[in-house]
Amino acid sequence: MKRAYSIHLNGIVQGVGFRPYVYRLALEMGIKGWVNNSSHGVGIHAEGLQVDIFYTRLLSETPPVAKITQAECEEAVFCYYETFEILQSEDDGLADVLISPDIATCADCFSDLRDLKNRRHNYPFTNCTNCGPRYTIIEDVPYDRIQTTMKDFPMCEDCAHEYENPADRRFHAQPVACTQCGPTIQLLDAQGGALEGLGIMQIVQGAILAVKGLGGFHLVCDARDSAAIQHLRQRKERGAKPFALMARNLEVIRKFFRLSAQEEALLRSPAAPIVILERKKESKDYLPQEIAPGIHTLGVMLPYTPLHAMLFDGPYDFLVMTSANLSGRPLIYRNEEALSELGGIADYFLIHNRDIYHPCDDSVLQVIGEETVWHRRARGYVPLPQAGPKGQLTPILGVGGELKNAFCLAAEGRAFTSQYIGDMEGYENFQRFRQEFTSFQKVVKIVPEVVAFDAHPNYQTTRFAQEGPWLSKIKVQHHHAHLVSVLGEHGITAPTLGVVCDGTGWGEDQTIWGFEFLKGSSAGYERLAHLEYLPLPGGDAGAKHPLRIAYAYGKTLLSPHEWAKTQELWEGLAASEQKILDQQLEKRINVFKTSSCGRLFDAVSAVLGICTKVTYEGQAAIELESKATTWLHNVWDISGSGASEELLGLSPRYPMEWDEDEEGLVLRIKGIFARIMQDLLEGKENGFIATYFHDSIAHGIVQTVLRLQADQGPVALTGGVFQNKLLTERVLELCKIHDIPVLRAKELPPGDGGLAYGQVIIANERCSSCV
Amino acid sequence: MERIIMAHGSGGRLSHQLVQEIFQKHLSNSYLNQMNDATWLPGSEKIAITTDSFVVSPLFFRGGDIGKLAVCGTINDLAVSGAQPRYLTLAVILEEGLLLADLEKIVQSIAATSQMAGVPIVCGDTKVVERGSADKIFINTTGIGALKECAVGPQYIRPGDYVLISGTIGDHGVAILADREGLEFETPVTSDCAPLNHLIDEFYMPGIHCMRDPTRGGVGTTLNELAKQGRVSIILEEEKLPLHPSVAGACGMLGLEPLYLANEGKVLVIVAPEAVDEVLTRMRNHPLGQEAAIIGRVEAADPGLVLLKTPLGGKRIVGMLEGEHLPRIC
Ligand SMILES: [Fe+3]
Ligand SMILES: [Mg+2]
Ligand SMILES: [Zn+2]
Ligand SMILES: [Zn+2]
Repeated sequence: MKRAYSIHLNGIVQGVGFRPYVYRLALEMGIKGWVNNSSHGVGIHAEGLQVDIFYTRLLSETPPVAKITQAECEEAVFCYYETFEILQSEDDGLADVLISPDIATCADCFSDLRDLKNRRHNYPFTNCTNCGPRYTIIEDVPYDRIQTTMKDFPMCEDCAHEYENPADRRFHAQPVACTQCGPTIQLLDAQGGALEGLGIMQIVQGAILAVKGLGGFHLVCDARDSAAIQHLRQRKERGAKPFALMARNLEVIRKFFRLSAQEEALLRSPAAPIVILERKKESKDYLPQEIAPGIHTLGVMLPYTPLHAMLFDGPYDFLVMTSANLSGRPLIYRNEEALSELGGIADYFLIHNRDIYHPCDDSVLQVIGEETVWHRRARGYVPLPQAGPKGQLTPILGVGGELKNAFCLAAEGRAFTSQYIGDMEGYENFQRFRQEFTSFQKVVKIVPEVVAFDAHPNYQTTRFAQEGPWLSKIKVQHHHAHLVSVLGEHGITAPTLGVVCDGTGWGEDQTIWGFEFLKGSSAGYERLAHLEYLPLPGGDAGAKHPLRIAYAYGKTLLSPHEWAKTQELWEGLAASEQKILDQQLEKRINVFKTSSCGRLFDAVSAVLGICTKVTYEGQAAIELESKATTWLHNVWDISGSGASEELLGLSPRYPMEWDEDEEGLVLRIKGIFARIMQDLLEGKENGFIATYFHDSIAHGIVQTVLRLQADQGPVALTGGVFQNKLLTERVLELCKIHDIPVLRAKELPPGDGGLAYGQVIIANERCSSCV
Repeated sequence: MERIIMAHGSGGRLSHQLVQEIFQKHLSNSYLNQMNDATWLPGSEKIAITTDSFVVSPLFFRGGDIGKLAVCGTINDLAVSGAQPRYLTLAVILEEGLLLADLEKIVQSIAATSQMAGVPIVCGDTKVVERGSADKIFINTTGIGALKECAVGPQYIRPGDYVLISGTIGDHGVAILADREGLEFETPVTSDCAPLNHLIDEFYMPGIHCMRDPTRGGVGTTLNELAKQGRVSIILEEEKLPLHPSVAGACGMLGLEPLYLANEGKVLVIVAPEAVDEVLTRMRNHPLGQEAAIIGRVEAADPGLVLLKTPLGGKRIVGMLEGEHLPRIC
């Protein structure tokens, strides 16, 4: 029987070849009617004999990057259409279509690029409905060329033909372009003068190149050229912070890095993120340590645009590819800005004339305990949403934290976390925050009425929230937000135990928290246990000199007798510095009480002589983990064992102790600290101690969980410290032994990048309970 | 050793003696000597008035004491508001047990400072409270000044104006901290406590839009207030901030931020571009302004914000602190 259906689909259904897909299916099945894009998804009028089968197939045979989150189908009036057509987009002001993140160049487009006979041979902006720029070029929804930065490039006849031909891979691909009509690249010298007749590869040799990519500029040099890397480090005033690499292909990655199937899948995924991989021994002489001093891993990605692929026309297997931003400032994404800001860093500029609308750093991921852990979430993932707070009535903004900021906009069951923006104390980063806050609202069509912010009184985002015109301003404790962020991702609303291992967050008792066992939900929490308070001399300035923290912790924890025996460990501190520190601690001048987990790792790193001066956030802890992992793997290599279980055993070398006080359980680490120092004085290797320290903290965490929760209910692990692979995997092993189910962040970082999402869920709870 | 006892506040012989032998002896002048319930003063100008109470521990510190502070604080508040300080009042609350010798030292210091500034103490009051009801000595001073020709205030600040400081920052904050806690730095830091009225007379001229003395909360907090009141932003240059090497060293060691440390003898001046060179030259000609420097500019964008341009070229937001400079590194 002939019938007509009116169908509405939502999700990622725009910019991913969805309408052509509908069109082809309709043609194949003899269905008549139309399909269009609207700002609330894809609308279809389908009539004919097989509309039921059509509908079933429609939902099940979707294009690779499309994702349907909502589908409605109802009987409609039969209109006797004679064709099936793709109609112009209509903007009816309604608002819930999902915008696709940027997608790495697909295999078909790569072969077009390499095909001498193809009209897009070596055309750096080749793309199709299955790949190419999306979020970074979109100014507004619905997603149409006119609303993207491709609007400046009217299609040539050939491109228009492909665009209009439903049988073509480029049918309705908004950024479609070619050498005739599309964006072009230009090679410039450091002064911005055009260079003619030079190939890209002649330039890269020995030089630093600024390359405009998908979400912003990269600084690029040959990854084997130590001198160039050192130059880059000096010119960027970058300290020791690791540089990311781009590799020619998977084969070269496999040659120099340990690569699991899961890691390989991540590298090859449409998001093409930076994946943190462990170096093989073979890479030692091949890839200089200057890329990432003191670290056994490197962040590696594959070329994700044709332009990147073309950089490998030269003899390079690996290129350093670091975000082009000056110290403490946001990613550079405009040509003029690049030329004026990077003139002292780059020798050459490879720019193009397709504007970037949403600057977006590369995402950084790591496989930890067989799951993906986000270090930085940006290109390739934003603006995909998480499930929003349940029963949300008012649109909410979560402003996030101070460092590694990302904000979150939530309404109508969905929560969109922005791309990684940066550290808010930097004015330019804060401006970027405000700029993206404005433009992100357009993309996700959410205008927030309520704001949620961190309880820390001096965060820039706290001030932004407090000074804004919101109906209601909701203050959220840092670690509560960390916990609820994870619970939200798992759809859990029941009170759950969370272990938050973190750097610092403002606590309710006016101290600096950071190693917290909270039991709670969006409705509230109880602080069941925490690390004992230790003195953090000088606050953030102290955090940059972790040996001072170690000294303060040691002096506080050890008995005078024990302390006296550790003198040789403090040679890194001048006598005058020690004297001032003694006075500072005694008189408590600018000394903060903290239960921070991050600072504990920093302190141990420093006392072991691994890192005593921090030049980038997390350095001391990262190098400590690296030292431990390297030691552990060496032992494995010798003993031929892979399981840390056999090596480390079931009881920790450095045991934790517990005290009960009126506020709950307190984790005591005097034993850990004293025995570490004893081992050190007895001449044990720092790698050995670092390994057993990780193991001891893992034991401490799991034993605390067992004390707090006899019923073996689930435990959420969150906070930036759970980006530490060694610690996390050891905690996971121990949880497995004790049958404790573990919840971890899934698609957001466990660190402060996931904070905003937790904030909106908590704010929603408080909003709806006060209405 | 003689100490303050409750009877010093009884209004009887001992009280009278205390006033005579300590206050009157050092502070004597024709106004104070009227010894009436109120002092009669000449003058018919527009006046400015301010009052301030001083509690500080320790009472004596390198570069000053509570008495000097009490005189300077009030004189400076008048002077930076565009007034010529004329008269001061002095009220003290003494804790039982205070050493008379210490009191006398303080009063001598008050006398010396008032003389140096040319602003007499014209009336006063003394009270004694029981041990524990005060901390040794509390001082209140009220100052009256005559308004000068051109008006200054945050409402006159304009984008394009320059920000000047009359010398090194944070000296008082570090000096007090060091003395209070017994910290020993390689080179000791001296408080900058000084009356600023003569210095200000030296450079006061049309084109000066606003002045403030960055006392408690320091340059950072004071400029934040000005940026908010004047609806402008202020861009400071880190490299231009005059900083005594010992203060820089102490801040580095203790993790303190010089921008938030107190000053007691510095003036921030916001001045129009056409007058900036003249003001700076005149400032530097005065002994209290030798290390004066242009430290920043006023801009229109982002009203209310104070930014610090770092040597690397980036800008850091210098926020208004709520309490201490709390750790944020996560
Ligand atoms: Fe955090
Ligand atoms: Mg005052
Ligand atoms: Zn493609
Ligand atoms: Zn074309």
